[in-house]
Amino acid sequence: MKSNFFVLFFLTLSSLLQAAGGQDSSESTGGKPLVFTANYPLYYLCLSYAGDSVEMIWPFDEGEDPAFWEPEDEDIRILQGADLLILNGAGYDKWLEYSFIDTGKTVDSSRRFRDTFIETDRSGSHSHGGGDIHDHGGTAFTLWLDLSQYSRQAEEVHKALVKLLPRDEETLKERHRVMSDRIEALDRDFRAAAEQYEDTPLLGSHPVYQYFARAYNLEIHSLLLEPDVYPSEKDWKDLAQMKALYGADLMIWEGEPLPETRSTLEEMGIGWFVISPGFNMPEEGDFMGLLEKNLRALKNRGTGQ
Amino acid sequence: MIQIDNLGFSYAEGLFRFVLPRLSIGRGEVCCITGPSGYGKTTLLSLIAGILVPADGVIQVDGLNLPELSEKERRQFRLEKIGFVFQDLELLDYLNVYENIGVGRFLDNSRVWNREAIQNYDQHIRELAARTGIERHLNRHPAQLSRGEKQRVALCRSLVNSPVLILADEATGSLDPENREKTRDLLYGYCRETGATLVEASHDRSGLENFDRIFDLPAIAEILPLEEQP
Amino acid sequence: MRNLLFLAVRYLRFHRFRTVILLLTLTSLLYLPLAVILITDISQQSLTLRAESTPVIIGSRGSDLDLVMNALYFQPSQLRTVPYSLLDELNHEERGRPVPFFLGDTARGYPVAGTSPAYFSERNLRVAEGYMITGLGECVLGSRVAESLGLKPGDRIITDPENPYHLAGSYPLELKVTGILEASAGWDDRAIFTDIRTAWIARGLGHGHDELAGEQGTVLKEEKGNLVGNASVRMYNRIDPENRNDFHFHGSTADFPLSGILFFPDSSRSEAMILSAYGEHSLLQAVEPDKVILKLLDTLFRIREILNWVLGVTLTITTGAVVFILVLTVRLRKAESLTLYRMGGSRSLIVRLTAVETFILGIISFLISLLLLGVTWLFRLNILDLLIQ
Repeated sequence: MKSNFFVLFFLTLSSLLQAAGGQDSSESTGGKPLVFTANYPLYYLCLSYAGDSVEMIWPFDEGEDPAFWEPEDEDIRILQGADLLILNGAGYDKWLEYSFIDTGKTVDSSRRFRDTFIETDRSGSHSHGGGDIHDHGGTAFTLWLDLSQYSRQAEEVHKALVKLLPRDEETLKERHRVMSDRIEALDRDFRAAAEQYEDTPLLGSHPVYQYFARAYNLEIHSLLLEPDVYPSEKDWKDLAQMKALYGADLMIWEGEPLPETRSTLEEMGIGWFVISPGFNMPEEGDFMGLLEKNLRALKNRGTGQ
Repeated sequence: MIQIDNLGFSYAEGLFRFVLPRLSIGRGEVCCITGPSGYGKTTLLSLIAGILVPADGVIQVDGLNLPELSEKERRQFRLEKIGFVFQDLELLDYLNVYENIGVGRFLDNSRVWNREAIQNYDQHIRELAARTGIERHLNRHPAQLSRGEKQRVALCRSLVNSPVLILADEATGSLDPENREKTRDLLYGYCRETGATLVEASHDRSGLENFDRIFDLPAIAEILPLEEQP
Repeated sequence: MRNLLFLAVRYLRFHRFRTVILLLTLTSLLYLPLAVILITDISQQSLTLRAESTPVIIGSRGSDLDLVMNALYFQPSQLRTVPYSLLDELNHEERGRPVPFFLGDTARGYPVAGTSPAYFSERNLRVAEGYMITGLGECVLGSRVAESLGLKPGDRIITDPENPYHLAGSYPLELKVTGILEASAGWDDRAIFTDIRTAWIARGLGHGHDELAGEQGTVLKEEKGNLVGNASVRMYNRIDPENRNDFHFHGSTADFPLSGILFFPDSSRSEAMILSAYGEHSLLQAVEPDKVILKLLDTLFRIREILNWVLGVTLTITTGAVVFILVLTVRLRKAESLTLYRMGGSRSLIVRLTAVETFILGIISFLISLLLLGVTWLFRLNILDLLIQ
């Protein structure tokens, strides 16, 4: 193709001008890829697998439930610079619906078992204390409390990290093997510990135990209570009703309830223990510690807490 | 000033030969050459100016034998020594009066035009214009002037190089008597003042009383038919 | 030389009409052929550059040229849309980077292109001023758009109710300008970019409105448990952090429309795989823009060929006319030449003067041509737009 000298001249000139105005596009993290995870269970996996070779993004406030995170523009800008975003899936990552994020960089850690998601009804919108009104409608998303599902999420995290860090493949593989073994062992332990509840219906403080119940053959009837809020008159009435309806006198809480709540529960003859979903970083220990604590509580039916 | 001997000239494609055995004009003389149209007045002026070169004979002007000079030397000679007033004035329409008067400057590449020379030239142009009464028109173009004014511009142009010889070809022919007198007065005045020689060619024999000498061309020159070339 | 120059300039100034005619003739003599070369070369270069920088475009089956023109040059297309789920499929095939695009609306005449952040990284477009889009209802402007509309980050721009992409029009959506892109000297300078979902909302595919349940006076009727809103329900025409959660899409976004997908394969093997995978698809096609553009350029070159002939003839005639004018000038100035010669000027003075005048005219024409070429270069995208349309 014939080309003309001054076209080339103009093109060169304009590209030079462009180059002069441009900035360096290389990563500003000293070479380490940036990885975002949608919640603590996934964060824990990532950190255990590749904490030494990636930079983790953790934009959530202490105690905040990442499921209801509403990122600021600045948060989204940080996420736009991420090399990998590991999502929970099951409608968990709602903020993604209005954020300008490259779907090519996201990995849905639960996409391979979408067909087993539990649909819930949308009626229960509520707010937590002063928080925004939200509902758990649509799809239940506390996938990881079913450890076989958590294991599959770990598999996805592993694959995504291998793709991101192909040179660390061996290390990642080994760490993933160790992690999978631990999760499987815990899963067996949970299954064993849950056997004692075969004929024992349980009450749940919040509708987050759907997969937990399904995985370990538990019958859990959930209310909409928060451990850090003293239940209202109506809540107590509902609780009494459910206790009577299902013949349940044992209750699972997301976190330790307030002392006042505890004494009222005692008065009502309801025992309780904590199965923490662990959606945010625990004050001490890690996710495995948290699971083990959950396991102990489950084993001991709350006695000793 | 002018010494012509045995001059013979014919145009390349011409059928006649102009022959002038002898003509002598002294320095400072104011002369007129008369004769009917087509008798060679313009040709003679052209020969004296070195525009035409004779086939044979001698034309000495101000000590220079013109036929012996090169084309370039003859041009330089015209620029330095001759002031020409043409029959049709021949002002350049695209130059203004000032530039028309000084057009010689643009033709003369041999002279060094330093600041002083340019200043002097400028002054000279303005003086001439003032003397001829056209100083108000210096920025105008010839098309904006009357015939008389144009005539005076042409006159200034012929005088601007301080020539020693002025050749005027029917310079006053187309003027009304008043303007003709004025123009001639100016020319005479210049010659008397500077000692320059004036040769005017005219077919009109009226008003010649002020000339020092009058040459009747048919009396001093011959026009002979050219023989067939063998 | 100075004297010649002086006289030449005086002559040109006095004979203005002739000078202007000659200038126009000489300028057209220089500018026209160069402009034709420039425009065809620019078209070729910038069409091919952009086409070559996009290895594959996937879209609905139909005219490949339509798809390429739509995807790369934001021209309206007759092709059907493809479902958004295709993007997920391509993402999962892991053969490269699929970049969705949807052209549904314009804002103040400029195309509004819905896309993903990958568009900017693949096209190497950086924000020069302000910030990249973070969410719904926001847009970044191409440099030319910002310049011609006088917009800066923080300003707002409203989509046009009617546009060449969809004649039916839709409810205008106000977009917040978050940033201005660096000039790329290409089509991206002349477009407005938003999130793909914002583009859908602008198209009327998703919307936000006040909560119907429980609001007095907004419920028109209740049908089988569905509330039907009456006209008093306010349609948002702006998306803010306060209401962006309320924006929703009716139906699954998997079925939502894309004009097409730009595909940047990770290897030539992947490219071949993708091309063959969609080569035999009954509803979709995958095209290589550079090949499509090459076909277009063939046409362009045929046109140029014809243009060259026409130009050649015109230029010969014009050159003849100029020579004629010059010869005529020398002849007309014969008397003047003689006068000047008699006064002591050179016999060739007028010829030299004419040469100098022609030289001056040539220089001026050259400069004017250069200026015009510069202007042509500045407006090359507009010219290309015209050519493409």
